[in-house]
Amino acid sequence: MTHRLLNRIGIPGLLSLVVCLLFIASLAIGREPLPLFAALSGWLSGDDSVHAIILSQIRLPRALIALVAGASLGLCGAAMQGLLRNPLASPGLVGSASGAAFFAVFVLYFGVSASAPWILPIAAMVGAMLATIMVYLMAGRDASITTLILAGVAVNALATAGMSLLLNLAPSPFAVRELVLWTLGDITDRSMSDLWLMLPTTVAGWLLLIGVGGQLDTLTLGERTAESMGVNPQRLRWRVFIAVSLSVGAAVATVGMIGFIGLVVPHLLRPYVNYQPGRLLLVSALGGSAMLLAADIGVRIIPTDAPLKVGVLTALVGAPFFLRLIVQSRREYL
Amino acid sequence: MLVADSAGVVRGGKQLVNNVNLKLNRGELVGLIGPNGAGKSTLLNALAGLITLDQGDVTLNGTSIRRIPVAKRSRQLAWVAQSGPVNWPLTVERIVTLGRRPHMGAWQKLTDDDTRAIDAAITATDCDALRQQDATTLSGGERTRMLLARALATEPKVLLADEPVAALDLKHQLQTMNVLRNFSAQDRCCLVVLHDLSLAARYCDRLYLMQQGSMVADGAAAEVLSADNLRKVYGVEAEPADGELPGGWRMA
Repeated sequence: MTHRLLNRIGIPGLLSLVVCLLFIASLAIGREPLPLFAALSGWLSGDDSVHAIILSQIRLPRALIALVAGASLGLCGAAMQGLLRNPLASPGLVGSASGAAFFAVFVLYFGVSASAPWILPIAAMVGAMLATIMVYLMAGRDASITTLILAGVAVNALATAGMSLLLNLAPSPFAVRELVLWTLGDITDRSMSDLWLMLPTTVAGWLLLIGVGGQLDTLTLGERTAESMGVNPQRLRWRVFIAVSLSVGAAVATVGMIGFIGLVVPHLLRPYVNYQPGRLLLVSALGGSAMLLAADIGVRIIPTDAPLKVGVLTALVGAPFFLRLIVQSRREYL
Repeated sequence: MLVADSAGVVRGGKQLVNNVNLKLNRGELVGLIGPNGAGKSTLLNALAGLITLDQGDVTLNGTSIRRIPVAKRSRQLAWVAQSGPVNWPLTVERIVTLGRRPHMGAWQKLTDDDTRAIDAAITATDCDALRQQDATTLSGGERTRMLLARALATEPKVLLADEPVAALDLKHQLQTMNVLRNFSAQDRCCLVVLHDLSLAARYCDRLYLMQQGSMVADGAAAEVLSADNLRKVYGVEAEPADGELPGGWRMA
């Protein structure tokens, strides 16, 4: 029966359903369990009961940001893997995320971000772009998995060193705490204005990736052959890099460093789209949303003394997965 | 239809292709032969418009190949790499289907024409039994056949194939040469890089012989594969066989 349902709505349909359910759950679950209908009708009719305020001011922005940031991370992971033809490529590994984080911490530290709210996402985007290009230049186009990982490690190390320096020089323990919390990745205490700030560049990145699916499919046969089949590899590469920088930069600027979604989600979903890099894009976006929403619900449910950060949870789930991938690829490629 | 006019390619200070003149006419199957490192693959890349020339020009139906929009070029000309990679475990059928991409828009579905071209290409290359197989698990020869099928599925006017029979068993060598022979009819033509001189002599209308980037000889097989040329280029001594074509070789 499940098979018949799956056949009718397909993987994208099924994932959309899961995302919807998780989204609703994310609105309802928390320290204060919400009677959703009452809160919703209260909010819509304009009364300011506590429940209506929690829904509109706290839960809704949080769920929406998780939805959007998760989609960006999943989508960009799939696009990077398709472009570099490498199952280990992802915004986290290729340095985009840590580059974005370093630049964001930089402007946070020097207080530049206080002067205008849009400086933070712009800085994060520039950081993501620079880090991605650095890894790409170091590893080269037909990089082996090992080269790619090494280049990623090097750029990540550089960005981490930069962040450590800033933490080291931070004027007060309070500033340190704020910077550290931010690098852990966190979606709590966000407002609708944070969402509006991240949305334009995020969507610009998504739009850039519309229609690259077919080209990524063709790239399966290598850059030369793809070029002979009408793909411009140079243009495709820049298009993906810019898209990833826009979307991941915006996501990192808003929620901090949330790792492994871009790595894990495309990898898990690949068999269900028959390994086609093009079809993987949409489902990875949906899968990324689902994973981040689920992780964000997870940190609310898991009882810990200090509140658990969502980036810590995704890393705890993702890192063992990453290890498995490496062992697997060693068997297959080396 | 495809013409190279004093084409030259320099890479890293080395003249890889030197003042090459070459012409492919409609309906012709032409062989490109020469020892390793003669510049055959580089020339093929240049003919496909994949690398820029340093001297001369390559034209397709009178238009310089680098000036033809890539989308249009990819429908008219197909290029098969010597040992092209396959990066994801797609099925053979899906790989061959990629050959239709030049004809399709980003969101277009396969039409009946597409399906027909794909089926024909798969059957011609004897890949029917492999259709649902993971393309990364194929043997070298099977993969070569699949990649040729991909190019045939594009239904190009010009086919440039880099050693399409190198990894094949005897039966599939002959079969592939027959496919190329049948392809090169009416308004289509094919240039094929070969190492097997007997195959080249048997199937090709004309041959081009390259050495160290330059064209040494061209014309009918009997002329190009003269004892003199073979000694000069390959350093082997041809033994006269029963027919007019050289039948065997030994080291000079």
